[in-house]
Amino acid sequence: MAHHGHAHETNTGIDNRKLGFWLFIASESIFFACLLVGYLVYKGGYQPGVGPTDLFNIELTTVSTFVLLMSSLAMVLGVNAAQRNEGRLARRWVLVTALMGLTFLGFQAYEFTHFYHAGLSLSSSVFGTAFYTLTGFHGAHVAVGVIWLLTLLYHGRGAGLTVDKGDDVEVAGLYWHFVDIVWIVLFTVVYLLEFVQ
Amino acid sequence: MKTGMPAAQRAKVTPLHRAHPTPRTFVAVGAVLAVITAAEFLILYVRGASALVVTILALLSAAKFFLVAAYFMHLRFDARILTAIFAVGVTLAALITIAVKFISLA
Repeated sequence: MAHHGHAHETNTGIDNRKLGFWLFIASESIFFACLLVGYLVYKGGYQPGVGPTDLFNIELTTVSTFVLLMSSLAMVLGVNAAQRNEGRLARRWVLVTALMGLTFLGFQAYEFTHFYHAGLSLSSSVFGTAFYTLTGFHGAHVAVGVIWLLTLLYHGRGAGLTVDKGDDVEVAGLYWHFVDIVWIVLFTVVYLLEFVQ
Repeated sequence: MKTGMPAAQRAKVTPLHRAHPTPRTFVAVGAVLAVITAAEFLILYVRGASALVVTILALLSAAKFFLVAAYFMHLRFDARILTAIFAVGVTLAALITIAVKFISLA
């Protein structure tokens, strides 16, 4: 984009990091599809009393979904502020995004702990294996995203995330929104559809 | 390779010349996402119309997916090749999911 501080001249007219990152996102889509289909195939394999509808707290998961969606809003406002060279504002939005990401991870840690004490472990059933693998990998992606955002905050100390760091903030934003998009699918397929009456 | 002209002119991609969204647009999209999430939760209380509820949940989920991709990930305003790359990944992902699910049902 013209207002980016250090856009490179490339054959495509698109920053190489951004183009490469979209290729990475496409491959990650396939990765999560493989995990999701594993879950769909094995989700029926559980012992009585420790199945999805016995364990899932849909109210809690709806709140955590809302938090992750709003973190995406904070992130895009951070990217926009960086591109407008409002460095300190951008840094504040990235901080809000990281805190919301940590909140989402807190919800997931609570959920996993509750499920474990209710009798669902990684090895207790094929449902447990598929569920923890799928949602655990998503949580790991959120954790990596939070660490990435924290490094941005470190590099943005002082003048903030100004336009010369605009491309860095934008690529981090793409990763964060992708993690959000994956959760939009998981929330519907893994959680909501179990409660349709 | 041709030289002497800007990369954007050499590019085989077509940049889109739509106006860039403002923070107000992003907040509006965020509000729509919040309303859709609330609707997804509330529709679970509808009983006896499971096929309809599943269809509506799928449509609402798809709407959230496309809103985030188009506005937050900026695909609506970026070069079309980025949309094409993402579409290939998502299409393959959907085909893998459908294919393996059908194999497991067989």
